[in-house]
Amino acid sequence: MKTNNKIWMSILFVIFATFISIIVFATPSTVRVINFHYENINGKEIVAVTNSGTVLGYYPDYNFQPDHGYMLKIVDNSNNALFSVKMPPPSEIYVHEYNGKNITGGLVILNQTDFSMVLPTFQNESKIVILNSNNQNVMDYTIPEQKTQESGKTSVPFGLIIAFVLILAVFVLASRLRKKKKEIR
Amino acid sequence: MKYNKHSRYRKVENKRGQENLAPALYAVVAIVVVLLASWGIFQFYKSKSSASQADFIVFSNSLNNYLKTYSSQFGNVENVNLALPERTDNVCIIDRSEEFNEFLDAQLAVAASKFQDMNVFVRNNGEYIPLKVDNLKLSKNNNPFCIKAAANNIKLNLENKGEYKSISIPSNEQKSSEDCTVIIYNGEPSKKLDFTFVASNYGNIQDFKNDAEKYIDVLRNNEPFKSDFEKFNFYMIDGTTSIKCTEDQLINCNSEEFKIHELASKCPNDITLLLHKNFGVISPVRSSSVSNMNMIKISSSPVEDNSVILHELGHMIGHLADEYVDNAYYQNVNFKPDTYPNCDYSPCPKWSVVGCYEGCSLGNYYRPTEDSIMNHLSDLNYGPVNEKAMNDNLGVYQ
Repeated sequence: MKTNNKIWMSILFVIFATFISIIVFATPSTVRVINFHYENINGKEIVAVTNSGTVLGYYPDYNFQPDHGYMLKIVDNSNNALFSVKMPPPSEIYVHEYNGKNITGGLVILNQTDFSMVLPTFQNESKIVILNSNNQNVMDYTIPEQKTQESGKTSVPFGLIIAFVLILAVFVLASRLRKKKKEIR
Repeated sequence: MKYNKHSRYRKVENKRGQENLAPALYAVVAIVVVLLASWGIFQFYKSKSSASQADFIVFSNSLNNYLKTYSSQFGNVENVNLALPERTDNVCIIDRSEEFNEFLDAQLAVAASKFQDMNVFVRNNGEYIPLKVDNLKLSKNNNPFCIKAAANNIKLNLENKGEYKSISIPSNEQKSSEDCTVIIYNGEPSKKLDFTFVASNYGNIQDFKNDAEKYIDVLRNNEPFKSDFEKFNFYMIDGTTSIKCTEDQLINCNSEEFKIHELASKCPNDITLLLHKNFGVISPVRSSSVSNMNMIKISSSPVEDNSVILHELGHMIGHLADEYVDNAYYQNVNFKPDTYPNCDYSPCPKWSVVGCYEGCSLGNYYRPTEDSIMNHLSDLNYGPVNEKAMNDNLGVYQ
């Protein structure tokens, strides 16, 4: 009997897990669109966030990561990586000119540039960290806390709060009066 | 005497009691007044919100009535005007009996999957409110049908087709723009490589769509994309007005980077292809594959060569180096062949069995084939070494 229950539980778990995975893959999620400014000042690389916002949408799978380069990590409060992606240094871009069949140009290293990324979001995310090719920290961005409720919306029925405060006020008043009556006697 | 004493005592205590009670009483009265006032305000807003709910019901009832058909009126075209609740900016209609484009609007997709028996979604205060109407029929390429609300109103053309009424937008009304439109869908985005086209500087959506299709054709007809074309999905952001990159030595979108990615995030966007319309005939055509991994910017002009997409994807997917020699560029960047699969020192130990031809970004390094798409746009082949590097990375897709 116990074994049967276990089997049923396993089957239900598999069905549930499959259902959940279908939902996760089929629907978009909250993603962070983030804009960075990169600058190289006398050999010191600095990256700063210039704009950030969350929208409902899709983020890239980042499957084409190079072996060497920059590393972006999303970490929680204990600095555990929730997500990481390796990317070419943002200063390096390919610029091509082509006319007819000939192609010229090539790799260019910029002193400063802006670049944006679409990243996943996590409930326990705390910071976005960027390390350069030498594993040095070039950016530490604290993710602003998300408001869990939209302003103007009441989370607990307002009438209940009023009723509770009124009852409390009546109770305080009644106890005061009772005390006063006792003292009079 | 005793009585008098007690009575005096009682009198004194009574006064003290009154003194103690008065502030508390005032406080309680003040709290009650504040609470009553708050309750009044709350009730006022509540009544406004229920008035708004009534507006939603009025809207769905009106739409329902308009969608009813009478066979005697076959072919009739009505231009209807529907009032919407305040702060409504978009209305989307989904024909649930047909497949619909779930990528058109991410927020709509979530609402549609949450309320599966509803078929009309009204975006009010930034949230989709689900409603239901009967007799709804949309064509496959127009499902969902979305229209922007103007001054809390939408105008629709309804043509009586006998069993149903076809819905379209009057020419002077605005269709919802900058949504995600599917061009080619081969399956679940999590298993496919998803390309999303974003327009810059285009004045006409059809031009943009035609250009996007030309680039897709290049991939469809050339390896390694040709053999595994079912691994790829293609989408476009259905809008032409908001992105305006500039073009000097490169396609410069610095101030638009955020907006481009925000738009691209509406579609599955493993690779974003920004097509920048270049109206100049004389200026050389340019393209650039930018460093943030997943965006390629391509200039489209009357003298364009669409095969440049293969070259740029070689950089992005295969991490391939340029096989032509441009000392002016590459001497400045301390280029070394070590991290590139297609550049090596003589006698080319990286691939040994293929050739070893002089010149790979710089004149003193070597490449595996005499010509390839990483060298010239006239040769559309990657060659065996480059193709293997591409396939190694494309192997994760099904």
